[in-house]
Parts: sequence; structure tokens; C-alpha cells
Amino acid sequence: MAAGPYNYSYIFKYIIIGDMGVGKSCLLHQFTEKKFMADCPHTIGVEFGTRIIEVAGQKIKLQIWDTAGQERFRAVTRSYYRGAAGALMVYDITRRSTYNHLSSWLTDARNLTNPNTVIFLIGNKCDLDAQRDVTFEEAKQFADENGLMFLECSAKTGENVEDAFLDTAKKIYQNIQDGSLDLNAAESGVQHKPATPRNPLNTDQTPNKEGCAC
Amino acid sequence: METVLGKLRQSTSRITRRASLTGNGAPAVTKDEIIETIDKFIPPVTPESDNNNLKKAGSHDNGSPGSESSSASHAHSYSSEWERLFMRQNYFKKLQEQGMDGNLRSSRFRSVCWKLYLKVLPEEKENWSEHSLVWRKKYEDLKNKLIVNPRKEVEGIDLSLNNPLSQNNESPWNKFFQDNELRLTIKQDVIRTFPELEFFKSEVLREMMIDILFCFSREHYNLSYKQGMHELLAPLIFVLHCDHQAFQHACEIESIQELIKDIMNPSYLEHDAYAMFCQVLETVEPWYMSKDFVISQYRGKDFINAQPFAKCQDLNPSNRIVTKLTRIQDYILKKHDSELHLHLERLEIAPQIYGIRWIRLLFGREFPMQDLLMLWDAIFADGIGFDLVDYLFVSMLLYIRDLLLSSDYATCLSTLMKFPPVPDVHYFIVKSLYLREPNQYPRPPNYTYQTVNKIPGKTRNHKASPNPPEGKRGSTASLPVLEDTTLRQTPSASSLARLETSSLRSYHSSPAGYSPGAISENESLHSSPTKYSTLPNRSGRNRGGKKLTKMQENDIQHHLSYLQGRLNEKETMSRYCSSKLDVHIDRLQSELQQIDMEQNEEIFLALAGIKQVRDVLNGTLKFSQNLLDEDEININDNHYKDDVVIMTPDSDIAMTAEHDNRRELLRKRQKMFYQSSEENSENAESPESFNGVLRPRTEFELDDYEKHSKLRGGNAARGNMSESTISESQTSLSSGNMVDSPNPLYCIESWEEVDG
Repeated sequence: MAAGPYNYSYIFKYIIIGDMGVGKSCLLHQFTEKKFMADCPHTIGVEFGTRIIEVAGQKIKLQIWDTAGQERFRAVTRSYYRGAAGALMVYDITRRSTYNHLSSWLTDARNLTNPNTVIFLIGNKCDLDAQRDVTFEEAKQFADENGLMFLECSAKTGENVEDAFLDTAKKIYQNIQDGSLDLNAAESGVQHKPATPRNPLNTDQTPNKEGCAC
Repeated sequence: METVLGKLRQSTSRITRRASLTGNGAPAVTKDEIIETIDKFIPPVTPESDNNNLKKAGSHDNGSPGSESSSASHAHSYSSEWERLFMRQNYFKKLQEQGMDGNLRSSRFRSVCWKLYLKVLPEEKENWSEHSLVWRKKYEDLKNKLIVNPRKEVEGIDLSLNNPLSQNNESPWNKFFQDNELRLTIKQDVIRTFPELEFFKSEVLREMMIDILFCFSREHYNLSYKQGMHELLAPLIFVLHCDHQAFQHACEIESIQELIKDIMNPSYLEHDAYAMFCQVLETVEPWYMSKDFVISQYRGKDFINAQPFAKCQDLNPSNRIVTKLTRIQDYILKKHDSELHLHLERLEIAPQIYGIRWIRLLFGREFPMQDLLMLWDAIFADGIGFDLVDYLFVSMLLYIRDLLLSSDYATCLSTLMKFPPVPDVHYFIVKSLYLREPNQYPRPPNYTYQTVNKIPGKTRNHKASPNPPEGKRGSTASLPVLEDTTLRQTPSASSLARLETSSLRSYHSSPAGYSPGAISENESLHSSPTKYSTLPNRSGRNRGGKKLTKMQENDIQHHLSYLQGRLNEKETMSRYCSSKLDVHIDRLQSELQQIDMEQNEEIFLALAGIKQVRDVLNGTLKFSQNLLDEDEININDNHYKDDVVIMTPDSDIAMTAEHDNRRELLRKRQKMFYQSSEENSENAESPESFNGVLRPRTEFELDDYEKHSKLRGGNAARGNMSESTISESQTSLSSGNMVDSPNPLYCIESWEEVDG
């Protein structure tokens, strides 16, 4: 149970939310595989991905739940919000409607996660600047008003994708450091590996436990 | 050894030649004939005639002990030991006691004792020589009759019958080939006999074992040779050989009386071994008999594979050994340790999985040779029926009970298949005597395998734990590691509690270095604090440790093992289900995405729902109050209503929850212990009240958690099983449990890691 098999000291749970077709799955794929997935099928319910990153010399494992954007899956995807340490809220800069829906996504995220959950706003598809429908300034203002972190990214080119995920992790880590995120709180979404007295389920599970890397 | 065997071979071949000349049929010889015949070819090692021996033996009996033993000058001489053992009044009874007490360990006449126990030799010493002769003659004849070589029988042969290609059943060649096959089978086993002992690697010895086993199996057509017999034979030969060595050594030092020389004649090692083997098999035979049941006593796994779900009763009831084993487990074990019995039963570990080997080999594989011999001393001494075996069996189980009780199926099985080392095997004898006749024998201390030493490894993880039960565990954190164990399982609370009775009074390996540490008063409700405070310390103050009432203790342990069993079961099941689901989801999804099914959204929804179930099952999606709430929301305001079924502890209800009153019931139940679902769903809509929701909930949880652990007392200290696991399982076990446990859901705060 000691840190032996684990080469990271924290696990952060992320969720990615936003309207359908904004490129959530592509962002995840770009982040975990460093590749652009051209014709990505729509997500059925949820998908899952992990990657180990490093923040301030600490190895951190990100467990990322990629949720379906379609309204019909909302009932299922909602159950994945709980206990997320970070939420990436994505809109498509070329489609204004996806931006307009942000407030309802934000409400959902706020309601279903805990107050310390870091919410990061991502304006995706910034490579398609010609078709831009939402300006950077406008979105930036929305983010500031709501206390969100914000970046425009491109899952296609990979621009800023890494930063979005890493900045979120940094913020979470900072929250841990300054004590505003209580690791012992039930829904912090962060798991500290070496001492996991409350998470014994992990202890008797060797890391070979198959995730759903589907 | 080599020289002895060489001599033996010599004499044997001589005997063979002579016997073939006399050509007598073995079964119908009279005593006189035998004596006469033997007299003729008695090997030079014992030149005296048997008549002489008989006379001497007779005189021994009449004379008072020691009166005519010229060589009894020093107390530890060979002859004086002989006299001490066999010359006293009622010597047989005393001999039995000595066997039981483990006093034959260093005796130079263990083989003689065994012969007496096994009735190879009669109790009356005047008949010893005669009986030895009969047995030796019998084996000699058997060998002559059974070990044939068609090549040598050239006289008066019928070539149509007697040729290597003849298919005729009566052809000596045919028989020869069959014999060779049998010998090969036997050899396969013999060459693997006690591989750790150099003694059994000698070629001559192996030949001898093969001859004995071959003759036996030809003699006993019904039984023939069965795997395992060789391991019964081996210790017999070993003991005979050791005694012969001692005898030869003594011969050089002192003069030995004729009877001893006759009985201990090293030339007859093979013959005497055969005689003893036959007597052992006489009793053991039914345990080897089987109808259509393939013996695979070593390969418990094969056995399991063959009968995956077989319980002992289903499995060939005509099988004697199964009946015996069932009796042992279901009667003797149940009577003395119902908890262990229940545990094994729940794990569906039938006694034959490990017990067939135990019994058939008379525990030959469970102990090192010297320990085994002592165990056999007792088994043989107890009576020719080997009745003690059953109780030894149970006492062995009791010894490892704590280990078993805290283990899952696989660990239990591996413990049973590889019995842990035992400091003093004599304990089992004492214990089994007590088990059999509690009124006749003193009650031995409860002595169980030292699981203590595994606590430190356990507590390491809990050092800074804020949780009361784990803090309590921390009090034992300074326990030293006493010995290396190969077992990964951690002791259950029950084994901790057992320490008091077990290790404290244990024989040799009473753990010496405990520091009881500070033990909080309120640590548990069920298992009394005194229990823990009586953990042994160096000064050994603790014998006054108060005991819980037996009833209470039994109750708790009973309950514990029950829960543990259910827990393991459910956990394994969940993992299995989720991994299976995962595979199927993958397949389904890739198929679905190939064909255009945009219209058929129900299918996608169902798939998403199944994914959710998978994630709940494998632990990545926390199973929580929220799920339940969402479920409620879905059912109420969602148009898919009954299509999306979310796994909940009440899913059985939810699934059939077409009736509103059912749902009402569910909701009422939730209201009793959680915030009402209405309240929750309101909160979900209004962010303002969110903070208010979280705070009390957390407090509730902690508070609840404490209560919970208190309730379960020592249970909370259980090894890998944590609070949340237990609660989770309780939750998922039955919806009815929700009423019992105040708030199990909030204890499940762990979310599991998933390696993508």
C-alpha cells in the first residue's frame, strides 16, 4: 500500500463539459495522445482518459472524464460531476450557441461539484479564426465575471491544450498548498497517494485494474 | 547403507535361488515348514537358529527384567534401552503411552515399537521371531512369485504361449509387459519421494521401494497401486533403516542378545518394511479406494477444475474418504469451532480439496520428516484404526484458524495446501486427544499460528490516521516482526482478540516483544478493551486477562466471518461484472458507431446507462447519495423514466418500481437517514444553498463514521478491509441493511483509481 507501485503522489479528477460538437473528446485525445482525432464519433455517455503530469516537482495523475454533450445523456453524465477537482468547460468559438449555453453548464457544474472545484473555460477551435463567432474579449469578460480561468485552444493544432489541463492542475495544487482545498473532504476530487487511509479500496488493488480506455 | 543394501541384495538373490529350488507355494505353508525353510537359507549375518531365539525370548519373559542382561552395564546402552522398552510388565501399554507422549523421538527401537503398534509383531515376545519369520517368508515368496522374468524361464515352455508377441492373457510375456508398466508407474512416484532427503536418492533404495510397492499392488488387485502409497512406505523404510544403523553401531560396542539381532536384522529391511506397509495399508486402504474418482490428491486445482461447484455431498458419495472428510468437517470441526466451519463452508472449501492429501499420506506432506515420525508414533500407538487422524486433522485446522478466518478463498486454500511451519508438532497430538475425549485429557492451551507478526505491516499505513479505529490499531504498531511469513493476509479482529488465549500460553514461540501501548478506553463496544490490554508484554503479566463471555465472542466472530465472506464475494462479483461490462460496451460501441443509428437514441442512452453501471461497479464512479438522488430526479422529471435504470442498492426495487408506492417506500427510507431527496434536488437547482448543504453533510458523515466504527468495534481494525469497503458492501448487500446502518453511503468516500 505504500507508494510503491505508484509513481505519482496525487490523483486529480477532471471532467470535461460543454455542448455537443465543441470538441471535448478531441481535446482529451489531444491531451492524452498528443494527436488530433479527425472524425471523432459523438460520445456515448462518458469516456475516460488518464495522463500523468508534473506540477511543482510533484507527479500528478489526471483522471479525466469526458462527458457527452448531448442533452439526452445529461442524466448519466451528471453523475460523473461529483467529486471532480477540475472542470473544463468547453465552447466552440465558431458557434455562438455553444457560448450562449455556458451559463447553464456553469450552473450545472457549480451545483454538482464542490465549491473548490477549479472551473476552466476553454474556447476551442481557435485555429478556425476566420469563422470566429465569439471574440476572445467577450469570453474573457465572462470568465472574469464568474471567476473562471480561461484560454482559447485548438484540439486540432494542439495550441494551448496542454496549458489548459496543466493550469487547472496548478490551480488545484495551489489550492491544496494554501489549504483552501481540504484533501480530507469527501468530494475534493483529489487523492493523495502515499497516505490514503480513507481510500482502502485502492490499497488492495494492484494498478493493473483495467480502466475503460474505450 | 550401501553395504547393508549390498548384503541384502546378496542374501535376497541367494534366497531367491533356493526358494525357486524348493518351489513351494506361499499361501499354504505350515509354520514348521517355514521355519525349516528359513533355517536353510538364513543369511550369515544371523547364524543362530530360530529355535535358539525362541528359547531366549521365552526366558526373557519368565525372568525378571535385567536379571540376565549381561550387557546392561551402563544405563544408556542399547540393550538396556531394549529392556526398558520391552521387558517391563504391561510393556505394551507403556509403549503406547510413550508413543503418545512423543518419547520415541530418539529411541533406537522406534521400528520395533511401530511393528508392535501395527501388529506386525504380537504383544507376546516369545512369538516375535516366529512372526517376523512368517512375514519375511511371505514377502520372499511373493517376490519370487510376482517378479518374473520370462527370459529366464526357458524350461518346458510352450512357444505358442510363451513368446513376446503372444496376445494371450496367460502368456508370461504379456504379464511381464503389464508388470513393467506398473513398475514404471510406481517408479515415477518413487523417484520423487521426499526429494529433500538424500536418503531417498539411492538407486538401491528406490529399487527396493518399487519392489515392495509392486508386490503389494499385485497382491491387492482391487486396490493396486495408488499414488501416495509410496509416501507411506518411505517413512517406514526410513525408520527401519535408522534403527538398523543404530543396531549395527551397537553391535560393535556391546554384545547383543539374539532376539534383538533377529528382529533388527538389517538384511530384512525390505521384508520388514513390506510387513509394516501392509499393516498400515490395511487401515488406510479404504481411504485409497475409489469408484470412478480420479486420484489427484496433490493437485487440488485439477480437482477443483474437474468439479467446479461440487460440494462434498455431491461428489461421489460412495467414496469412503469423502465420507470421512465430511464427517471430520461437518461433525468434529463444527462441534469444536463452528465459526471456522462456517467460514470454510461459505468459501466452499470442501475438505477433500486439501484433506485427501492430509489423510491419505497421514500428513506426510504437511510436516518435515522428524515431526512426521513423531506424529506417526502417536497415530500408530493410538490404535490400528488410526482413529486419531480425524482429530489431528481438526487440531491442525484449529491451529491455523485465525489465519483462515481472516483470509479469502485463495489465501485459505494456499494456507491449507501449504501448511505453515509448526514449532512443536506434539501439540497436535495433545490437542487431538483432548478433542476426542475432553474428559480424559487435560485441555491444552489454545495455540494458534502466529498471525501477530503481520500487524506491523498493517499499521504502518495508519500511523497518522485520524480515524478512531485506526488510531487504535496504531497502538500495536510497535509489535516487532517475529518471523518472516509468506502470508500476506492480515489478522482479523478476531485473531487479535485471540491473541490472549493463543499466543500467550503458546509453547515455544510465545511472542516476546509486545508493547501493549496506550489503548483507548472507548475503542470498541463489542470486543472489550481488556482484550487488547492483555496483549502479552515482556513481563508476561496478562494471565489475569479477563475473558469476554464466550457467547459474545463467538457471536462477534461469527458475524465477522459472515460479513467478511459476503464482502469478498460481492467485491469479486462487482469487479467481474464491471470488467465484463467493459468488454461488452466496447464491442457494442464500436459496432454502433459503424452503422448509422442516429435515429435510435434509446440504444445510445442505454449504452450510456450501462457505462455508468460499469463505473459504479468498478468503483471509479462513486456510488453515492447523489446517484440515488439523481435516480429519483430521472424517474420523476425525465421522459425516459423507466428506460434509464441506475444501479443503486435498491436497484432491485428501482427496477420494478413501476408502482408509486414502492418508490414512496424508497423515498421514506431515505428520508429517515439522509436528507430527503426533495431537499436535495431543490439544492441542486439553487446554487445559493449549496454551501449549506455540503457542510452539514460532511459533519454528518464524520460523526456517522465514528458511530459506525464504534459499532463494529474491533472489526474496524480489520486489515485491508476498510470502513468504506465494509459499508459499501453492506449497502449493496441488501436494501434492508439501510435501516440498520445509519448512513452507509457517506462512508463511501473513496474513489478508485483507474489506469486508463
